Amino acid sequence: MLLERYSPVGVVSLVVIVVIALSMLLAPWLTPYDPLAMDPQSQLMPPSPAHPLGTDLFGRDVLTRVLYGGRVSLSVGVLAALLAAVPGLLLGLLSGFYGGIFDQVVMRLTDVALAFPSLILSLGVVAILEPGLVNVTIAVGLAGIPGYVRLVRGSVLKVKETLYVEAAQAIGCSKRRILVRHVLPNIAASVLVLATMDVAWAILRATSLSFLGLGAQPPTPEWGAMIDAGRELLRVAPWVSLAPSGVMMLAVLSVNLLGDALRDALDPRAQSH
Amino acid sequence: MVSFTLRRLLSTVLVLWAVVTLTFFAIRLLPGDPVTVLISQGGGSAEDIADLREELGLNDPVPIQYLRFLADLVRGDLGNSLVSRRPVSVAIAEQLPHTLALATSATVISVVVGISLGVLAATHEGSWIDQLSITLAVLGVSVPILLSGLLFILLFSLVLGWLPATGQGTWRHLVMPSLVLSLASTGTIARLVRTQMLEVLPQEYVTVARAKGLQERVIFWRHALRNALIPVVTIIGLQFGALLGGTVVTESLFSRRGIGRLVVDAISWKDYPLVQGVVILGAAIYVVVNLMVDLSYGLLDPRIRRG
Repeated sequence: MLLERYSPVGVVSLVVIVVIALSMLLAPWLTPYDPLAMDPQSQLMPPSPAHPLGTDLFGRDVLTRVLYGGRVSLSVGVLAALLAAVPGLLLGLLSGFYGGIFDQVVMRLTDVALAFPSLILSLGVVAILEPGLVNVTIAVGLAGIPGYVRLVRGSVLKVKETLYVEAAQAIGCSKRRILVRHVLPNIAASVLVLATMDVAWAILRATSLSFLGLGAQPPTPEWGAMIDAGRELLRVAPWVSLAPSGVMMLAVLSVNLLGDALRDALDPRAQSH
Repeated sequence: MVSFTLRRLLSTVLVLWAVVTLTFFAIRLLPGDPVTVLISQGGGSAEDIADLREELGLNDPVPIQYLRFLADLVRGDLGNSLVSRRPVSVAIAEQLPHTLALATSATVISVVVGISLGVLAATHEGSWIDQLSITLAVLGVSVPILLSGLLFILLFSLVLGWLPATGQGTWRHLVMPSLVLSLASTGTIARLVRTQMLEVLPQEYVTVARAKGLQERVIFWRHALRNALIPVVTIIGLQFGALLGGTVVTESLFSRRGIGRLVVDAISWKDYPLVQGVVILGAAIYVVVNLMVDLSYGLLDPRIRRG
């Protein structure tokens, strides 16, 4: 059913994502350099066959660091998205399905959480937990939860009104069975779409926090920290910062386009604008 | 309308109270009080620590601290910075104008350019103008500040030498950061305006306006756009939150002073009162902007005013 409605853009972005992910995974075999070893002999060398994306201030190969950095940035993005999706899905499901006081409490908390601009919320969480890569992942994940709760709860409320749920109730299905067998499969598509988009958002957000100096610390290869280090060198060695930010944009854009394509394929009623 | 406004005002006050309360308890319930942090950074003798605990009121029970915090807050007192010992409100007041200038000009750019681009695309549906506008909008949404900012600095400062890359002071310093910050919102608004316009344009009153012989320009801007505007205003309010967050990254990228730099430094120094102040302020601005957005629906649509 997916194949019937596949879009060329979706396929291309999926291929790009696979290529990016594979090259980060296979980094040790794709590049002869060490992402951390400094080489004073080859500081700030422009792109060349030996260093396709040049070298940085410490003579490290930028391509190598972009590849290893992708491992960090992509896994932080995926982890943060999971950290938002799982609790968000659970809370939204229970809140929408059972209603009552639990629903009231969850919704009020969601309202309050959504009153914070999301980066400010993440900054607050990082401040409490102390800066660092793990805490940035948690902060970005937490900031994503309210979005899922809202979406899932809304979808559950809609599904609850449908005839097939009424029918299931009529033939005596337990609440648990209705929730797992009837409600969950019907909201899975929209959650999957949101989760895909959320990965892109989380990569971007985590990179920004590391860029601000609150996540990965030098010399850890990570896109945000690399962009920050290369910012001052823009005049003499633009490749140091442009390479990680360019690859980051490619990754984020393809994940977003894949999300768009998934939405069009899974839910033809939802139109994109 | 009056009761709507009142209800909306009341719920805003409640949300603000919840925001403040959540921030207060989140910062206090987690391990490590600010004084221990200061000790770990090598600051002061046992006596200093005792004094500081007393000064910060940390010896009182938490409910008392909370009430005192609320009482101070309504008087505009956010406590003192742990690092500089100056009032948090003063530190924020010094930096806020820089950030507001950036956020406001970015908002103005994204509203003006976004709406124009959206109307242009919708009125030329299917043509190359439409295609170009959509492509620009998608680019605006997809290119992260961390890339667009670097490219702008490279092109307009280092290659062309038109604008200063960093710092602040004149309007020329403000151009690039506000443009970069506005890109994502511009794209979002343009795409939404286009969809809304395409929904409105086939409706009968547009045909009537045409039949009356009105100019296309008048039809688009006065009749169609006004009816397409409510979802757009909602998005502008929501985008403002993203913009506030974006200022933090933008300020850092362009080495500008402002709230962003203030809060990042405060986090590194574990200056909790200052972080707390900025977080509360950020949420308050966002909540109030969205209150204004909700109240503006009545101005845009007379039906809401009467209902």
